[in-house]
Amino acid sequence: MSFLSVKFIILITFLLISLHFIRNKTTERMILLASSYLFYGSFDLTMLAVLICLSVFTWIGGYMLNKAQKDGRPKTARIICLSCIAVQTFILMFFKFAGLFPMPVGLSFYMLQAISFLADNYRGELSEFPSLLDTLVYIGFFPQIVSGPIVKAKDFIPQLNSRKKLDTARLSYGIQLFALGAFMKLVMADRLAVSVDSVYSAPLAYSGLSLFFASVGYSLQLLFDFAGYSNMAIGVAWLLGYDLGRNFNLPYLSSDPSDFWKRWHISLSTWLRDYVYIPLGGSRKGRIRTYINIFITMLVSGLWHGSTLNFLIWGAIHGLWQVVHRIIKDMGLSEVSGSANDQTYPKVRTKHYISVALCFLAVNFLWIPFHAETLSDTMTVISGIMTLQPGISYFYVYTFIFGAILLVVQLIAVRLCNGNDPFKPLPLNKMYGKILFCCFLIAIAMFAYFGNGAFIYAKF
Amino acid sequence: MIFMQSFKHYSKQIIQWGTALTVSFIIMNILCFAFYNPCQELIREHGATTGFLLPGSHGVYGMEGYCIANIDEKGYVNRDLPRADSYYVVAGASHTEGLFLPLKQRYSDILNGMLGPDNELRIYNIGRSGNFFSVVLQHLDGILGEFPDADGIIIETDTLTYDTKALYDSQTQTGYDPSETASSVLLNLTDRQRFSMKVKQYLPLMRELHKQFLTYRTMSREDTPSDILDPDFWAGEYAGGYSDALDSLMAFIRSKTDKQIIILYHPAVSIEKDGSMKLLSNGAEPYYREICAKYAIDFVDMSGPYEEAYYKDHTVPYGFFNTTMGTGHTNRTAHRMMAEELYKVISVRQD
Repeated sequence: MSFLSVKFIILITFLLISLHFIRNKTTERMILLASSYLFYGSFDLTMLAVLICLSVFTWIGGYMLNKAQKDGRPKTARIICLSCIAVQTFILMFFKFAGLFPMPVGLSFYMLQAISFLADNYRGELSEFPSLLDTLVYIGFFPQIVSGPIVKAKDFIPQLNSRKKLDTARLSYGIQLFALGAFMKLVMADRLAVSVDSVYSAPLAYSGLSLFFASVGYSLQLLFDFAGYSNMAIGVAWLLGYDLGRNFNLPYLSSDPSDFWKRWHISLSTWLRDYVYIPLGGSRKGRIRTYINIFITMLVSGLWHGSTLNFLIWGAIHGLWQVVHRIIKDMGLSEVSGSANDQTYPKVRTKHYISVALCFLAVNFLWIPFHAETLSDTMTVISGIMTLQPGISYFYVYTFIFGAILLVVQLIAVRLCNGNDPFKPLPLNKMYGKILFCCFLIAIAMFAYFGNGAFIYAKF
Repeated sequence: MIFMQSFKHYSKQIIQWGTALTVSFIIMNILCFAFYNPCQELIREHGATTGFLLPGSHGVYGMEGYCIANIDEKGYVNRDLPRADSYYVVAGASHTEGLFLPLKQRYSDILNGMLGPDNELRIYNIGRSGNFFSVVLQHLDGILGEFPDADGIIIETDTLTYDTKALYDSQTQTGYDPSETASSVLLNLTDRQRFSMKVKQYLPLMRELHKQFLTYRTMSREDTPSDILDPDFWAGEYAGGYSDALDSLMAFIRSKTDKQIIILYHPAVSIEKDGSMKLLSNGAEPYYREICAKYAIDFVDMSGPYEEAYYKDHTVPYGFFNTTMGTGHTNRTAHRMMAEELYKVISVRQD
């Protein structure tokens, strides 16, 4: 069952109506859990069994460590926590690297949530130990189970007790966010995919410049695909009364690698920060250890994304880039400005925009291994671009159209929103808001590309 | 009282949303006129083609390439120019119809320019989507009946994957009824058909949404692997009565007329991982070449020019900047090459 199917619309409609009339919290959660398992089970029942087993294992682990902490046995609690996380990591690695069984859909995402559940419990960041039902709902919550956003236990579980009821404003925001996501996915990402896939399937045939623009097309596709999915997931969760946070914040407006990871896949970045970087010592143990910790964190990010050498190298280069940037910053050679949520995002500084352009180029090149199947293919594409190899001249018009749209949105963000995502819901209580929204929906139906519908990040 | 207030509130909302939907539909429909507004088709049974396009109309095709089509008074895709005394008829499917290229970029238009001054039509295009090689041959009587004074006929095809049975079936003629002109078909439409045409004409958004809906419905269906180029199948065909069937077909064509007949064959291609361009062929070219020569039918094979152009200039005959290279319809480059190859055959004959 996909977000963009009739079955899903029926499921969400049923769920919204049910939740609107139910007052009992337990029944509410049970319906939510049943819907989540119905959604997830539609992919494969074996995968559902894996999800349930892992959720129950996580809860038992959490229960035991919680009990050990209450009994004043911190060392036992620590051992239980680390053992359970080791088992979870092993399961994730087993499915990812062994290749003996097909990887369950969304395992990479809900496994990180399961680890977050144990870690947050261990750190005492949950006011009380969650019930089994709460844990099952948290790990199996259907809007984000396939491709995130990765929500931490401390952020989500408390919301189960204070679910927001659906009102007009919530309905308007949720639906519009979902529609925006659908537009980004169906109209933009899937249309770009057609061109990108064709070029990457025969990189030796295309000219260096065509390869470069195909790589730009892929950077855009990846953003629209993943941010589109995230918007849909966040929109659905919002309708149900939960806040999953923000997962993207105009990442191609970043001026340095550190800023990029504050804007791209924010939920993963913060997860890595909270559960890998900080436990490794973060920046508390001196400069050298900080650099090593940054590098290790990015290496883990690479491994999380995929099992091939491509991803490891991708993570390593991102790690090195961040370390170099950090060294420059520590030496006082770099001015820190323009990061996400910064109230003083520079509006007219040429130097800053050159940094943004260079950062995009670097990120763009680092996305190449994401699409290329092997390291050899990656090198073929990169050398093709670098040597400006002769070949077919092919410049896909939608790369330029969607690139221009993104550029305009980014300029608006810089001018009006301090470099942050300028998305504001249309006022659906006003006539012009209704008309614009209807136009937007018709535009999705008109321009949607119904071809390759798979979400890229679902394979991670 | 509360019920009445709720009723008023919901009624107001429904009316507002209905109005908003109507207004937005009108706005997007206007946009559609510049993006996708295909010409109306008129079906017929006994003529040179399976149908006409609405005479005197214009269409916009922006899905693949971009084209503003012009339909002449006879219902074919030609510019509004008089037909020359001496002319060729070009028949074929969508590649010939060329509703993805601007006017003057189709091979029929380029060839027309090559054959003389650009103020009359020496190449008359009756291309119609779906009129593949076998369909064109079944309408041979229709073509000869409708264009008795033509100097020759060019039949375009992008595949030779017609097996023995299909080659025999192609000889079955649909016949020719001189009264089945575009204007007479148009006159004989029922009121319902007229209304439907008007709706389609003024509401291209409806057609676009319908097309999208059909695509969405077929999206989930798994494509069955095509065995159309299966070498084992074709080896079996060639070992059987294939040559006789092809011979019979060419003899049949030649028996119909002594005009110049040109078969324009342009194979599909695929861009391979190693950077080469592969011609998607079932290997029937030698049979066509030999048997066509036997009956003085010109067989223009674009395989060679396509390969030469690819390895010389990296030009690919299929695909546009809004689709992918090597797929879909013939592009401007291919049309130019086809015109050049056809010109060689026609000028030799005229000399």
